[in-house]
Amino acid sequence: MAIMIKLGAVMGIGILIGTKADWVPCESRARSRFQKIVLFVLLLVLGYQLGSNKEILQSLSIMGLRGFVLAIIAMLGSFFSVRVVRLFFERRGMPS
Amino acid sequence: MIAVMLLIMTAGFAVGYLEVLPIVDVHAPDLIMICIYLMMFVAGIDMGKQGVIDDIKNARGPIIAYALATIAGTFASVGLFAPLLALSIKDAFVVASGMGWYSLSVGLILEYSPALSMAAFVYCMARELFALFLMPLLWRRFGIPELVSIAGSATINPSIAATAATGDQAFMFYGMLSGSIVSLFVPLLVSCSIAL
Repeated sequence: MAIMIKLGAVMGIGILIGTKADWVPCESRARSRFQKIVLFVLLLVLGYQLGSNKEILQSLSIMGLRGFVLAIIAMLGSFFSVRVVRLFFERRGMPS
Repeated sequence: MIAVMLLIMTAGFAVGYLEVLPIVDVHAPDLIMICIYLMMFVAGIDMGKQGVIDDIKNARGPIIAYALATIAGTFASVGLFAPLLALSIKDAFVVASGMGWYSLSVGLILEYSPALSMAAFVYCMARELFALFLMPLLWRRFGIPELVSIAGSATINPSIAATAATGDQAFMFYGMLSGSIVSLFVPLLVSCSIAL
């Protein structure tokens, strides 16, 4: 729960700066580059952590497969629930 | 970009497997959290600059309903099918809670379970990749809101690709708004799923 509050606060501060600070450019190559570098460092460290973990190596194929199947199930679930909501709005004559 | 990311993750995986940089192991948890906070901060700035909060305030009810239905549909379906994959409902929720936001969810889940973190990475990547191809492919057969929902929170790249492929700007409109609303919920969803 503490992490959730911290993450929410960090994101909130970012949104506040983005909304209020005029000196921050809308599109910045430096910000985009910084974001990419941080992402690559994160992926590298995550990969390292996963590769050095014997538990993962033993369950790599099965967990990868489960993740893949869960993605398909989740996509279908989202797809059909949004479709039901959209058809509901259409039948009620509401703009969708 | 996705190929580069997979390559970097694989390189990290190989280095970790060979255990040639034990110092990374010591500082990895802190490094991961610092990266996540930095990415959340910059993502927040981008959201603020794009006027996402105003857009959400001005958004019509249906768009918010579509975003919430995207989340609800994901959780309902993975909860329903989790036993078939020999997973507990909680673990299925943990994997699915990232909604496609791999940089956040994989790092947060790693401490809870490295194996589920790996599943979450594959889950997020698969969701974005499927959306990338399915959104333009199914464009004429289905409505744009349900096509955008396939991507979960990772709507930006698939929406840009779908707009470029079909010329339909509605992909960008729904993609930006729905993806942003879902993304706002992801930190909450991941933390709550782990705390279940």
